[in-house]
Amino acid sequence: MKTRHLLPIGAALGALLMGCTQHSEDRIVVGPGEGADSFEDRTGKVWDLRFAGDEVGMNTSTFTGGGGIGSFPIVTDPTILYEGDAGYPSDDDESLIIGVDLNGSAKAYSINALIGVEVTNDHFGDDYVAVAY
Amino acid sequence: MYSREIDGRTLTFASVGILYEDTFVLFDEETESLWYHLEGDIAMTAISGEYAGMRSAELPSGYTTWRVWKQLHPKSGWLDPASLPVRSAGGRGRGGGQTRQLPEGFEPPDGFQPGQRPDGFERPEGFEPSEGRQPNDGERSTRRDRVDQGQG
Repeated sequence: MKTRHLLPIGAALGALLMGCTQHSEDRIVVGPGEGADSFEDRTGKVWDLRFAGDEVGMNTSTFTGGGGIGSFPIVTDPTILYEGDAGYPSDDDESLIIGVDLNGSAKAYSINALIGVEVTNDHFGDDYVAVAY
Repeated sequence: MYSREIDGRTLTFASVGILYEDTFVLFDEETESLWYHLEGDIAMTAISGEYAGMRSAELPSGYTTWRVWKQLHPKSGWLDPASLPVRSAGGRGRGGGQTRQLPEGFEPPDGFQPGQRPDGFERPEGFEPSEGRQPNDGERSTRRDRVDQGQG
């Protein structure tokens, strides 16, 4: 069980309605018994949420969705274009991006591209990273 | 952006389509542990599976436009969207940009905070994020916000 938030007394009722338990006048505790021990995704796979609820303090009854493994593609070492490559954007392109400058290398990951995959696994030299949107 | 190097292994992350507080939970392909970036934390935490309790450090990155980024990094690479695999037809769920506050006193190694927008950043005119999302705008109403405001 983990104490998560200190809240003013006036907010305690609201917190109760959100599924939390009031354990004192100024403290809200989210812990075991308030969520599920597991979550079954749409593929039938059951994910153990006991640690998430008991140790991390997450309200495990509020996990939603659940397309399962394979509902999003796994992207590893995506193709990176450089100046002169076909498809490389013009300098005045206003696309929103997540920019990364690491180990002397800079790369831009467009938000529109990441939306479809959520995460891309890449590396900058010997540093292996996951760029998530 | 997170490190993939955990416990001497290089993990491969992907979304598993599960949402918690409107944000996607990730999993690693190697151990099928679930990972989530808790609000206010500076790392992603494994919340289920073999790596439960392990943490993956958040590394510096930033939201901006390509135009601004290119001015700062003239030799920057560009993720080729055509190289990305197509999401399966059965895939569901929607994106969930992380919004969180860094702990007081936290200083990224190079001074570039995650989600920081460089000087000169302006959202392109007419830009509409998918499904109304505002990446890292810091204004998304969270459960904590609603509780604090007595809107629960």
